[in-house]
Order: sequence, then C-alpha cells, then structure tokens
Amino acid sequence: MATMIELQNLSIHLPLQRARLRRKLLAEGGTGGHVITTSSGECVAALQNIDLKINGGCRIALLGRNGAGKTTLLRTLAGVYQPSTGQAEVAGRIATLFSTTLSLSDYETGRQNIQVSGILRGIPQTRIQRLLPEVLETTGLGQFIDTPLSKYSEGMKARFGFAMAVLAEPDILLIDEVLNAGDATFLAAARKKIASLSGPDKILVIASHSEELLSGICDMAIWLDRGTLKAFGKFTKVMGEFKDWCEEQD
Amino acid sequence: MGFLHTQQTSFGDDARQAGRDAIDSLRRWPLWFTLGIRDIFVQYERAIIGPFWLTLQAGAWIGAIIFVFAGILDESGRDYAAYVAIGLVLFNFVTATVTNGSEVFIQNRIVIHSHPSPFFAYVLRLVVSSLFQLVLQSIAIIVTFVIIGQGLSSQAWLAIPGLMLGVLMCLVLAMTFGLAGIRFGDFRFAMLAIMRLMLFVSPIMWRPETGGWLKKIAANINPIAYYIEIVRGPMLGQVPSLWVYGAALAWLVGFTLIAIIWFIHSRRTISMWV
Repeated sequence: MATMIELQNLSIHLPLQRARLRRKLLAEGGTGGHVITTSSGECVAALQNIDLKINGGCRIALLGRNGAGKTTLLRTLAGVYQPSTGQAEVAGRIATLFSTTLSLSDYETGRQNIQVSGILRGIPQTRIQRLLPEVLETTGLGQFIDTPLSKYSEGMKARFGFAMAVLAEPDILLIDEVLNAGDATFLAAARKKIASLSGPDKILVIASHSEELLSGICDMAIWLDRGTLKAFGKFTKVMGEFKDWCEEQD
Repeated sequence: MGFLHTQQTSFGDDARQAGRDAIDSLRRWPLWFTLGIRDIFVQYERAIIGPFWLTLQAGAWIGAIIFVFAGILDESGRDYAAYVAIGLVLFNFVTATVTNGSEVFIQNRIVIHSHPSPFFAYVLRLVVSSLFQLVLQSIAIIVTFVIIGQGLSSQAWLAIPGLMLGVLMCLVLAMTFGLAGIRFGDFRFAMLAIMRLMLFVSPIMWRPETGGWLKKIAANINPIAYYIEIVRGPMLGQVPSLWVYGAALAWLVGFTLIAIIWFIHSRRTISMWV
C-alpha cells in the first residue's frame, strides 16, 4: 500500500484531570482548544473535525500558535492518540522525533543510548549494529559518542535524537519543534538527510516556529488554530496567510 | 506498518485491541526484559558497587529487625532470622512493584507520547525490574542462611510455584494500580502510605500463630501474607495449607479480572491521561 495519511472528521478530546485546571480554562479561554463536556467528563477539544489527505512525496510544515493543536496532530499521526470521533488512517513505516530525551540516560554514553533508543523504536539489535557507522555520521558527534549524555548540550541531544529517528528508515517522519536547538551546521546536515529520505513514497511533517528552517525543507503547509484546520496547501501561500493573520492578531 | 484508528465502537473491538497489545508486548521482549534490567543499573549508575546497594540495604534491614524485634517478640531461634530475611525480601519485591506500578504509565509518559508501543510492555518492564531487585536482595537471604547455618528443606522446591503465583499477582497489581494512578492523581501517594503501613500489618517481623486474635485477622485478610507464606513456608520446611494456596489463587483471579476489564475499557485513552 502506498504511503499516505488520511483523517476523516477527526476530533481529539483530551481529558481534564484537575477541577482547578478545568475552572481556570473555562474562565480564561485564551489559546488552546475549547473546553467541552462529554460523556466521560470535561475535556479539551484539542482537534476538531479535521479532514485531511496527505499523499506520499509531501514535505509538510505544521503552522500554528502555541496550543493550536500541532503536537496533538503529530501524536495522532504517530498513532499515539486514538480518535475521540472520526477516523485516522496511516499507511507506511512511521518514525517520530518529539523529544530529544526519549528514555535516555544521562549517565550512559551516546553509544549505549543508541542501543536503548533502538530497542524502544523496535529496531533489532543486529540492525542497530549494522547501521551504527551511519548513525555516528548522522549525529556528527565524533568522539563525544563515547561520552555520557550529561555532557551533551541541547543541540547535541537534538543531533542525537534526529539520528535515531531517521535510523528506522521511515516512510513517514514526524518532527515536533526539537530541531530548533541545533546549530547551523546541524540544520544543514538535517536538511540534507531529510532530502535524502524524500521520495514519492515518503512523507515528512514538521512543526516549528522557525520559518527559515521550514522554508528550506517543506513544500506544503498545514495551518491549525485552536484545534481546527485553517488551511492546507502550498507552503508559500499558507505561510503568507498565517503571517498576515498573526500580524492582525497582534 | 501504519494503522487504522476509528472512534470507540464496541467492547469487543476494545477487547481485541487489548489482546493484541498483550501479544505485541510479549513479542517485544527485548523492550521489557533488557530495559527492565537496565533501569536498575541506571538508578545506581554513579555508585561504585552499583545495584549491590540493594543487597546491602536488605541485609541492613534484616539485621536491624532481628536485633530490635527478636528480644521484644521473644524470638530467639535461628529460624526467626531466616523467617525475617525471606519475608522482608519478598515484601520489598511486592512494595517495589505496587508503588512503582501506580506510576508505571506516568513514568513512561515521554515514551508513550512518542511511540505507539504496547502498554502491557511497560508493566512487564517494571516487573522485570522488581524481579531483578528481588534477585539482588536474595543474596542477603543466602548470607543470612550461611551465617545461621540454615539449609533448605526438602520441600523448598514448592517455593518456585509459589513465587510464580506471586509474580503473576504483582504483574496484575501493577497493571491495575498503573491504570488507577493515571486517573487519580492521589493514588500513588496513597499507595506509598499504605505500603509503609503494610510492613507492620504483614507477618514479616511477627508470626500469626504466636500473637493474639488481631494478628490472626491481619494475616487472614491481608493478601500479601498469603503470597509471602507460599514462598517462605516451603523454604523453611512448612508446606502451606490448601487454604493458603486457595486464598492466594482467589486474590489472583479477582485482581486479574479487574485488571483485564479495566485495561480493555481504558487502553485507548491511556496516552491521553498520562
């Protein structure tokens, strides 16, 4: 089956646990989804009635202000969240880069953490061993690969996380913000790597507030606001609309 | 590769997904086995003797309890030392599983939010960790046996099925309490307090047969007492009665049903609650 993502009338309702938080959200409104009452209690409608079809070959920027639903959408595409209403269908091998500290131990070396990260991502140890030189090259960490992670900067951790995410050779790569921590050299290397992973059967979805980063990678864009889909189309057009809207809001 | 997720349909569909979760978890054994053992090493990464601190801690506790309570409870026989050593190490195993179990999903929040891994694997990972702790703490039992010159009885092999029942019970409790922990923010703190109390309410420092009616009742209504007894009894040459095995089995069946039904009902929303 060809790589694709299809969301039909999809809504995600995240339960609210604490009464105090519920009252605060209800009183303040502000950014983020709406607070609604469902049969299972009060929830934040993090995504509402999203219809979306993405075919292989797209490199998509995820735009929106804080609380717009970008992370929720990425988690839904990863299969982490299941729909409260509607349907999510994803075909293809998925890899995520949502956190640079994914169950990593600060006291273990980069090399040891590669093993752990591989296990968490379901990659067989034999394959990890075989791909180790490639990972070392992608991380660009050199001798630091045998240094405990506690000595890494956030940017180095971002390099590390990125290398692990692409290790699985995914059809669909989902990235949430974390690349922003990298320096110019790393971002150039990441762009190169992403380009090498691109193809008619590949999909990239990346959330970032950096237009510079996104414009160098993406050809399409999704714009979310308070859990609803405002626009989906060519990157330059949607980015332009988003920036105009932001100026109006400010 | 990929998935088709639809909104909640029926209990049957949820049951099938939960079953698939359990099977996928068992298949992904490197995740829970390797990482379960690694979790202990990571905790003691900076210590020179590493996880053997667990052995020392257990040894110190065993020594202290014998020193303080042997006189108070008029227990002078060498089998009291063995009784305390086995009881305390088994209780530590239950405590580690139950208290950490109540936050098993919360502790794995970052991974849960990053990868759609099967949830049961996190519970298995925790139980492997606790079992590894049990192995390390059991060294303190061996040392105690050597010091007091106590050997294993001919019925000691019966401790193996007893321990297996106990491990299954801990697995089920970790799942149940893990689900409770994500829904009720106070649950894990309550469990911490309860387990501290259980140390005194369980027959570890005292024997049910040598106390008054209160101790007998405490031992009879306390599930931990049965699971300790079906391991400790055979090791000390006392085969537990069928009543003890029956009670241990009944608690296991009861909690297993609760865990399965709750897991089927709430599995799809775990990632939203953590």
